[in-house]
Amino acid sequence: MKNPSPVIPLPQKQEEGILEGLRHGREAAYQSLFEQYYPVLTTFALQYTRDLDAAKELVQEVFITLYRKRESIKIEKSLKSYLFQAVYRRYLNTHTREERRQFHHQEVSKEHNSHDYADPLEQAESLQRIYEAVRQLPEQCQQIFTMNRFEGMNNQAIADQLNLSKRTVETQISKALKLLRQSLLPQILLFLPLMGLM
Amino acid sequence: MEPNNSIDHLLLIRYLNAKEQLSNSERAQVEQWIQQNSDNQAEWQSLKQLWEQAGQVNHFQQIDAQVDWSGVWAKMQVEDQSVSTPVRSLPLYQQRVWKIAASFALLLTAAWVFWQTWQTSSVELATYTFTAQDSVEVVTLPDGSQVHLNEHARLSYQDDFGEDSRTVQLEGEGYFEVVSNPESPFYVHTNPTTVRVVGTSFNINSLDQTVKVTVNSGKVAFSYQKDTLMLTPDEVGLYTEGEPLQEFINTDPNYLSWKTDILRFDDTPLSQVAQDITRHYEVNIQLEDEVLKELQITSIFQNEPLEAVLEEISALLDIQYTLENNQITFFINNP
Repeated sequence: MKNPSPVIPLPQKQEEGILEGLRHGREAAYQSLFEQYYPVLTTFALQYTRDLDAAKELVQEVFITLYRKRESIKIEKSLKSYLFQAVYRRYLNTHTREERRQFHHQEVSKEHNSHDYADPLEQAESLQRIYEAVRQLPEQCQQIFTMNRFEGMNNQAIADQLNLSKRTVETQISKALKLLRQSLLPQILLFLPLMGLM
Repeated sequence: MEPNNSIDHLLLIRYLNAKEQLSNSERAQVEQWIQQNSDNQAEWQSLKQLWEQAGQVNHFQQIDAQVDWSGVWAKMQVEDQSVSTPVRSLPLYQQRVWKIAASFALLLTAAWVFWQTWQTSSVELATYTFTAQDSVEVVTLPDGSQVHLNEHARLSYQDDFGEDSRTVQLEGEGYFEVVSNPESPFYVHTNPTTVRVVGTSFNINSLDQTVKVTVNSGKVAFSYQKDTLMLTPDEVGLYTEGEPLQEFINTDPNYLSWKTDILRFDDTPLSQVAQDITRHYEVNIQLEDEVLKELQITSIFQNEPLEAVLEEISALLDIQYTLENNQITFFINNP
């Protein structure tokens, strides 16, 4: 007799099982899907809404709609692409053309970086991988790196606060970047060949 | 693809951080290195991209899926109720659609029943289990009945729920709102007793050696072995290990406080108030003086933090209290 314990996020290949659970309105199925996709979908939505609370709300509403329509859900490709599309569609439906034009305007006038970050979906996934890689950094290395990158402190201020030399701070940041690139290697290798061609 | 490493990595870090703070020659050195060849350019681009992206991920710290989930699930339940509320009058064409849909549904059900009967011989039934951890959880059963599970309670049912009967197992405390269906009786098994209902709402609290059923509406049959009590609203059935079933009138206005978050006192002696608070907030209460037990309280606390409740009680009775860890002591004012 099976005695399923809920909650643990299921890997992609168990998608069928989740779908079955979604159709039956089982909390465990919705919860595991939510826990797996909420951060990355919110990051995706954030690129449109520019406001974290609004992004969270948008994503939550998508899940609530999924639950409400559970008896008629049609998933064409995968749950993942369904969810991203649903978030995007909800954004379009809940924001006026004017708001979207403003967003687009900002987007265009925002720094004319030579490299443009693919589309928002890839950007969201890439940011999630980076965040997870940062959480894996050794303790002190992570602390210094996040003080710089998350809290926007400059290296002298970090050195003063932690009672270290500025050079130590810089060394730790350098180490952090090297470790991050190592753990993100598969992702970086994807575009290195392209760079090589230029 | 080994990049030209003839540059100090720390210099690159400083350039990324604030290139305006570098001396002219240092800046020139970095820029020259970047321009030197395509490998260096690629190296620089990926470093810069990583640097910029790492500056855009701090919002992840403010996303907590586990915390937000409970709110989302609660909203799903609310939405669900509004959807299933019966519509009073339908336009004609919709009624016809419903009739067609119903006959299809009937066909499908027949096919499904046939399939299930055919399958039962070879397939084991799956069991679904819901456990409330540190908060009250609401479980919606396949027939639409709802069960509120108190902390640490566990509810399970099997795949055949609703076929001939609706049967669930409960450990701990649960409040049931059963959708009426005379065709399919609803059973709650709590080791070792059974509760049978048609459509009603009631609370069951099953502990190690006792099971207590309190009826809110409708009629409930409460059984242990050959013994059965028929309970109506405000009646309580109590099973205690080794004793016959007992029946009495509910005098506890707060038996559902775990679900409603409301504590109601009406000329209630402090000794009883202390018991209700102990149960609701999972604390210990000591009354320093015998006299305190008889003091009476009339008040309603709705969703109040423990300290607000203690403050109000001590103000009403002009007494004092201390709270340390989970231990509360009430005592009379020192002169």
